[in-house]
Amino acid sequence: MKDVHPKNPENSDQHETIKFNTSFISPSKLVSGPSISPAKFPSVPTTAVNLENAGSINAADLLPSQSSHTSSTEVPDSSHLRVANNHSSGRFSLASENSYVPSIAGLTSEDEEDDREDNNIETSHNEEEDLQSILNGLIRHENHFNGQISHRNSLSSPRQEISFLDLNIFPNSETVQNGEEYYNKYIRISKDEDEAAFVEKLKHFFILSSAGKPVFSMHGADDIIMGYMGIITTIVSTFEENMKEEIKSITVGDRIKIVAINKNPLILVAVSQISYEMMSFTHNESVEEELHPRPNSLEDHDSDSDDLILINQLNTLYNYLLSILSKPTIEKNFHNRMNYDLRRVLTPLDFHNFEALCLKLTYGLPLLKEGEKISDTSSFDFYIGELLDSSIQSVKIRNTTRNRLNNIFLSCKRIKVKEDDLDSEVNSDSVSFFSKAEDQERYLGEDLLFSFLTTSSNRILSFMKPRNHTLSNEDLKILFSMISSAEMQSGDSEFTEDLWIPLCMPNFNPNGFLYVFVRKFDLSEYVEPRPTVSQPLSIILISSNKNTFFKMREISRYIITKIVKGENSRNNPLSRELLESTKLSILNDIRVPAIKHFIYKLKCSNQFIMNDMVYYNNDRSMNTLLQLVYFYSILHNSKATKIKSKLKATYNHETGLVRQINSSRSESKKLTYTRWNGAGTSVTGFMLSDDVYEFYCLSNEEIGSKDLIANSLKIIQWCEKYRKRLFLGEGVTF
Amino acid sequence: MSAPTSNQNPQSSQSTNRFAQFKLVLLGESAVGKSSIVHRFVKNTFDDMRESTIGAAFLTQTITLPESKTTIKFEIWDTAGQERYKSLAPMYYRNANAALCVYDITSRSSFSKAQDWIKELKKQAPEGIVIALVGNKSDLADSREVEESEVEEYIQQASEDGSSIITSECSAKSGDGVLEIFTSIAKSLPVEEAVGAGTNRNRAGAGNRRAGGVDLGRARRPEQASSGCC
Repeated sequence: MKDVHPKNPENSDQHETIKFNTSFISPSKLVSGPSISPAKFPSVPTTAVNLENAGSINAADLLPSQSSHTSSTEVPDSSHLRVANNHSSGRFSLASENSYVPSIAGLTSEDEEDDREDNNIETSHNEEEDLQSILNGLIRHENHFNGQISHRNSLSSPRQEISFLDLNIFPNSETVQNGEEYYNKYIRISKDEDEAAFVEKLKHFFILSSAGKPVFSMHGADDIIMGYMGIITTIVSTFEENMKEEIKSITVGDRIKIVAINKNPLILVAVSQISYEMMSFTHNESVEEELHPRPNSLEDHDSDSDDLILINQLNTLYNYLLSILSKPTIEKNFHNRMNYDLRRVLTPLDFHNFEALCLKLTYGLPLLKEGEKISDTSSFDFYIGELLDSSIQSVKIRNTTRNRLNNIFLSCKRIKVKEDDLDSEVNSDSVSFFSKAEDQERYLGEDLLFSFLTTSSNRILSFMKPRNHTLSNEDLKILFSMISSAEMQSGDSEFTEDLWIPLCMPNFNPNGFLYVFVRKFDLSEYVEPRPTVSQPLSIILISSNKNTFFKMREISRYIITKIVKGENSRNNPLSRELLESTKLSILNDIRVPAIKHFIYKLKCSNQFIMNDMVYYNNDRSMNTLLQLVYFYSILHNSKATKIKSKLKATYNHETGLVRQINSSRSESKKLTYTRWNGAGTSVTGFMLSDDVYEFYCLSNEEIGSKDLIANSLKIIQWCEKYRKRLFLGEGVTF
Repeated sequence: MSAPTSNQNPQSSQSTNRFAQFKLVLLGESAVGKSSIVHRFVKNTFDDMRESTIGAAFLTQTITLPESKTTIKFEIWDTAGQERYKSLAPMYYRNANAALCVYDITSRSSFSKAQDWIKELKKQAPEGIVIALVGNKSDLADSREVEESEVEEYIQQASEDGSSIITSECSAKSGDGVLEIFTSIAKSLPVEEAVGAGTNRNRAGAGNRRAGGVDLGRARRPEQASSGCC
């Protein structure tokens, strides 16, 4: 591997272009090129604001560079690359202003009124045809570029298992024999002292103090890291002092991106060689240019958006630090002594959590011990949530069940106890839930702010919050990461272990702590006859008062009692319902055999659902996981810009009726179609979105545009029909 | 009918009724094995890869003292040893009947940290709190840094100052000595008082915590009257 690390500038490739992106606002030039990207390297050269006066600090001394000059890069003919790599890929996006409204007609509703939504039967046919026409246009377009007809090889032969190496997701795929070797060499976290192995890693995260003291490094022993800490602080402080601005990112050609955020007294740095992390959100304009050339249409480009993926990752790491220490604690420690070693207040668990976060954020992979296999998909869930702008995943349960759970939470706030019992700490025996007497009574849950009932995979079944406060999805992410890391310690349901965790919620209040009560219980233990499958659930109660553990504990017992016994004598217990309904079985419910994986995100609540990844390749292996991460990253990050296409004109007359009915949803309709060919198989990715939803799906079977559209719409309709079951909604407020 | 003729031995029936409940807190430096001791006691398991505790964990376990035929339920606060959680410690020991100050026999610094905790407990904890100074990792005697004689000396010193401290070594890994510590703590606790305070209460609910119901029959602890506030 060519070493272009700042430490060895003399070795660097002379043809690399290095770009500095700073917060300095200069007249920007869009430098992105067209983006028909080969699978080998799916992102176009990154765009960045050129630092016009970079010479004044002699950037060339810091990093090897020809100059900060960049130009529009012509992407090489993809057919040429296809020969070279035995792969080809075309990616096209198009936003249409037509009115394609997914219809919910055509599915017979099977139950429950509360899940029923308005139908728009008239629109379904038109929409399907319109989408098909557009998609056919895209496919023709792709064939033109690929120099082949995608559908020619209607694969009647059984599809082959492809390795993520075949897709050239990561650089240097050809240097290893198999996926496992690649993982060990380039991905696996290693604190080795071998510097050559260290620089081979695809991804690095560093957290250090402004004075250069290391706090955390994803890879490498201390001896190796120290030198790099020095370089980072030098670069950051040079920009700060000489140019009165903060460095944000450095791009080395199209191979390496370095992003830094300055959270004085801490600096966080990410170094990535991963193509899908370097994509910018606004480069996907090839179709537009083909259909509707826009001469000189280069606009000011928000340079931050290029770095957004890595910036978000760094913010997640920073939020973790805040959550365990809080902002004042960090500042106080460094205020007293500039060269304070923050590692002194971090526990081994914190470093474990950092490492787990690094892997989840980058690859969607869990932190595995040597030889350990992936046992659950929580790291993939986390990645997709992150990809979809901090969306959280929902669980399918009946809306009435969810409402009953919400009401149980609400009733917690009304439990009264005698003043006595509260003051004398706790005495569970004298707490009376339903006491009506007024004298000397207070509410048991007066300090209770947020309540959650979650599955073991941290999906929320029900939650309660105060009227005027919310926990952001970023905060929830931190909360669940923390609880999962504690989960290892109490896996056995044979005895109960209640946790009481002081945690700072960075978006809620970075300056103070909340206190988190966690009780895990296995629902299957309360159902007769006892089911074979266990159903572990967690009750999470967040209090503003650190002395309320026993009150929260009492509330958790109350909640469990209500769930397993029913709220009152008229109601059936919720346990059986909860046991049965938490599996998402859409791919069994409706017949969409060609679609192997999908994600549906409801935009207004920023929540999503997706099916189990096992449907994609019949496994939950690392290979499958890395492929899904890659495909969805490309699909998502290929967000189409809004354009006026000729297609719009073509379809306007056909869709006039639809437009009238649904003008509100017609503005932001977008679709993206992606196809990866290679290794004797092909994968089709499809994205469709409007103001209400984003839908992504993958198929690794040969699928025609007609079926792709029809099946996608079928799933979308299903999701809309069962929206109240599938999505958590707003929870309940008090 | 007269009681002795029933098939129930009056003595044994009495023994099942004798019940007392105590709060216990574990304190000590990070990584000395507090959670491991608790898990050995409660679950009889040991996990070599245990991660550090975040905040604190609350567990319960019951033992029976055969001599006095009394069932004793421990409510245990397993606290995080990490410095950043130190400010929370008072809320865990404030109402405690007993405290285990744990050190690692292979770490001198952890031994002096345990002594600091004892000092703090003397000042801040409720009067009459039973204190045990516990040296964990006795299976690693080869790398021992804290000699038993030093501990004796320290205890000697403390008793001259009028405080009695239970001391013992154990290995959460092998299980050696763990149960013994809890038993000797139980014997030092004011069991009779607690039983006396609890006899009139219905304890039907005790032991059904897995059913998720409210435990209606917990004994009121005598300390609550004396310690007063929370």
